[in-house]
Formats: sequence, C-alpha cells, structure tokens
Amino acid sequence: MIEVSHITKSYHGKKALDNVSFRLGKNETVCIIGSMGSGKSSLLRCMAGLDFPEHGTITIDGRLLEQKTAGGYNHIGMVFQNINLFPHFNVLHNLTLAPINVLGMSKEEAEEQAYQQLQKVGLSEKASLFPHELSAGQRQRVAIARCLMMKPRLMLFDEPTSALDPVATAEVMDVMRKLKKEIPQVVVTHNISLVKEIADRIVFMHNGKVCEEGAPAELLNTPQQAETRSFLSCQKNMIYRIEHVHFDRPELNARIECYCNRFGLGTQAFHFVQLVVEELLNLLPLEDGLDLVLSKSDTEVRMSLDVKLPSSETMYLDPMQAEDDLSLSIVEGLCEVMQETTDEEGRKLIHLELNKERLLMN
Amino acid sequence: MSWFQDWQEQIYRNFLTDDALHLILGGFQNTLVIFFFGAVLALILASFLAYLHINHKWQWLYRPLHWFVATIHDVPAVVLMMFFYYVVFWGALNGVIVSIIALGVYTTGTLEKIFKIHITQVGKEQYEAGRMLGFTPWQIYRLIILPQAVKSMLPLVIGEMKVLLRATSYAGYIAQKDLVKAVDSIRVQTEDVFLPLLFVSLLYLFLSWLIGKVFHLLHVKFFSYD
Repeated sequence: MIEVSHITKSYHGKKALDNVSFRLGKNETVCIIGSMGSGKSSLLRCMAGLDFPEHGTITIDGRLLEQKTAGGYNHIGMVFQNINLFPHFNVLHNLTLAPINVLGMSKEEAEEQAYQQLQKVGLSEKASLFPHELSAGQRQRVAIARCLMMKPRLMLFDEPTSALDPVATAEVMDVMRKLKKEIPQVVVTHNISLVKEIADRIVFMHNGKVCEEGAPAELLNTPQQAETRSFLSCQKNMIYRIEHVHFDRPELNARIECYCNRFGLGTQAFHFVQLVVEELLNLLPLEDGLDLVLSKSDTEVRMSLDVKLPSSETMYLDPMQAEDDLSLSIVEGLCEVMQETTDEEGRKLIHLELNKERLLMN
Repeated sequence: MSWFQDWQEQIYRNFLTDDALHLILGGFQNTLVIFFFGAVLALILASFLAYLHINHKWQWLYRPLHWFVATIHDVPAVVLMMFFYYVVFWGALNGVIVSIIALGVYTTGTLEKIFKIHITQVGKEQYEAGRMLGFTPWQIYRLIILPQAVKSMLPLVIGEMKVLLRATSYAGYIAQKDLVKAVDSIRVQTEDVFLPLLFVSLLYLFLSWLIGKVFHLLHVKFFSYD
C-alpha cells in the first residue's frame, strides 16, 4: 500500500503541489492526468524521492519515503519521458550495472536475470546492441526492463509514451499492460488511450491539487468538475482560437499535424485536413476572430470541423454570397456534410464532415 | 673531406659520443617522466575537482581549490615551476618531482574547466536515472557521467596534453636535465647549433604526434559507441 498524504511542494515560491493526498492499493495502476503545470510530474518526482515535499509524507508499506541524496535503493523504479538509458553501455550492461554495483549481485546472476527481463519485454535478441541502435519504443522497453532488474515495489512512469510514435507507443503499452498484474504503477500521461487501457483509477490534477479522481469509465465519460471536462475536451479535440487576420498560420498547421499524428493519420490525410481548414478560412471573415474545433471520432474514421463566428447575416457557404468561389468549390469537394446555422446567442456555427476516404490516405 | 663525411662526424660528435648519448637519454627520460606523471596528476586533480563541482555537499571544498588552480593557471608555467622549487620547497625536493607537481597543478587549471563544461553537458537526466537505480553520487560520477563526458572532451584534453609536453622544457630552469637542457649542453660543448636544435624539435614533434595517436586509439577503442 502506498499512501501520499497532504504533500505540498513549491518551486521558486510557486506552489506546484498543494495538499495532495491519494492511496495506491496492491497491484493497482493509477494514471495521473492534467494539463501542463498542473503538478503531475512534481508529484511523481516527490514519490520517486528525487524531490522532497515541504509538508506531508509518502509511505510505502508503512515505511516513510526519504529523499534520495546519498545513494541507496528505495525500491521504486522510474521510467522517464526522455528514456535516459546510459548511451555508453550496451543493453545488457545497462541492465546489469545497478544490480552488480548497488545490490551486490554476481555478474553471472545479473546477466541471467537481465536475459529473463529482456525476454519479458521482447528484446532478448538485442542484448549486445547500444541504445542508439534501438528504436525509441525498444529503448523505452529496455528502460522498463532496467527498472525491473532492481525488483521495485512501485513503478513510476513519467509520460512514457509522449516522445514515441504510434507503433512505439503500442509496444510500450503492451509491456505496461503485462506489468499491471505484477507491480503497482503510477503513470503520468497525456495519452488518453493509454489511460483507458491500463488505469484502474484516474487522478485528475489541476493547479497542484487533486481535482477529481475515480474509475476510468466514470471519470472519462461523466466528469464531475468543470476543469476535468475542459481538459478532456481539449484532449479529444483540437481547439484553436484565431484572434485576427494575421494569426500564426504555421502554428495552426503544426497543431493540425500533431492532432492528425495522434490518431496515426498519414501525411496525405494531414495535408487534406490542412487544405480544408485553409480553404474554409478563405471564405470567412477573420477580423473579429473565430474558434476552430477539429474532432476525430474514437471509434471510426470520421473527422469534423466546427467553426464558431460572431453573429452575421452573411451565409458564408452559400454560392451566391461566398467571397471566393474557388475555395467554396474545393471545400464542397472535400467534405461530405456542410452545415451553416446560428445558435441561441446569434453566433454563426459552421459544421463540416470531412471526406472519409481521404482521411484513410497515407 | 666530403660534405657527407662532415655530416657523419657532426652527428657522431653531437649525439653518439658517450657523453652526448648519456645526456640525451637522461634528458629524454626526465622529460617523459615529468610529462607522464604530470599528466596523471592533472587528470586526477581535474576529475576530482569536477566531482566536487557537481556535488552541492562539497562546495565548501571546491570553491577554494578552484580559486587556487584558476589563479595559478594565470602565472607563466616557468615562473610557477621556479616558485615551487625555490620558495615552496626551498630547493629541498628533487627537481623532477617539483616539475611534476608544478606542471600537474598548472595543467589542472585548464583541464578542470574542460571537465566541468563537459560533465555539465551530460545532463541532469542521466544523474537522476543513476539516483533512481540507487547509485551513490561517486558511482554515478565514475560509472555514468565521467565516461560520457570523456568522449566529448577527449580532443581538448589531447590539446592540453601537448601543451603540457611542451611545458616540460621549462624543467631546465630548475636545474633539471630534461631533453632541452641536454641538447643545450651538447650545443655548448660542440659549438654546433643546427643539428642539436633540429633533433630536439623533431623529437618534440614526434612525441606530440604520438600523444595524438595514443588518445585517438583510446577514443576508437573505448568511446566510439555511437
């Protein structure tokens, strides 16, 4: 049983953690989600003993966790976002270095165990390779095996898939799924698919506090707090606000690319989405600002583009009133559904359903 | 007498008489000893200071030591050597040992800066990965940080080693028979200038090339992992 009790931590006078408490049961996997700066990583660092909270305590099986300053293993394994394998050692040496030098294991015993752990993560063939010879997903799996060599009582994962492509993410998720039965895990992540896959419980953090916690089905589908709802909406959709005509187009394109990458859409599909957005913006007035929302369905190949504009009499998608005929015909050709309505407050709403076949292009 | 016989005689007179051979071998040996042990001393001191630098606990010791080697490095090596020989040790210690200490400390001044920069570049993440695996700070430094730093700083260290090799020629100032002193003695005895100086120049060039080659082989053998 791991118990985090009323911990507070500040960096440069700013509170990163404010009276945070939660419990972790035997072999339970808790995913910590939240926006950037919400205190997730600070909490993980305190649990790892890399940082020490100003107030509060962390206990593992009733034993108080102390800050790691002078060495000594505290039976907590941590997998980093940047992987952090030792580049000057091969995979086998990366795994055996700590058991030999910290636990006093013999070289033969350490190597035997290393091969077992590598087999567990599916990399026994790669023992002699150096980290730079492995893919990112393989490196992250070696990092997990390196932690397992030390027989940890708790595994901490700090955004383990954020630097990985979809294939590598799937590889790491597979290993984490298997580990779930053996060791309690605390996972800090933005990856909602990973959360759905492995979490027994989700903790949502906001402004250094635990804002909401609960079972995945409960918290992801019916969040109680407004902050949780807003965060989850941002995770599912790409929301972009255009303030004026000279907005940052490269930034918008990059956001679209990231969003498409998240769902594993190909380069052509991303260019197609970008084209629809660009042509649509040619039809709309940008002076008064507008909100763009790109939403991809979780279950099927479907993506919609919604635009919210200030009130206007003009029908922007009407061929008689459209400012740019060419852009309009391109948008018509690329979308399956085009709707233009007005909400209760008089604001103009545009809804487009993008062509499914084009989304499947690589 | 043909020019060839003339050269033969000059070479014999300058390098092959018992006296000349004795002087050259003795000087060469002293130069090598001063260089080798001076380099070892400088490398040990620089890596030790870099370790103190990254450890908050040892800042009280690091600061005065850093100030000491940094100040000393601004004094010309030959002055430092004479200061150590005549003032610090009152001429009571063997000149070779004094040369090793003086040049070792002098070279530490630059090596420490090189070590510090390259060790800092390895990054906090590697240090934290080591901490999470339960290594002591010294083990992290020795097993994880230093080997990675050495890979990137090796070319600069080679440069410093060549500087140290050239600085061994100052040992003659504290009555030590190093290579330069030996050749100078021969010059005085034979009154030949060209051959002794050509010889010593070529020998230093060769030693300098050899240092570069040895360090290059070390780099290929131990540090070409990516």
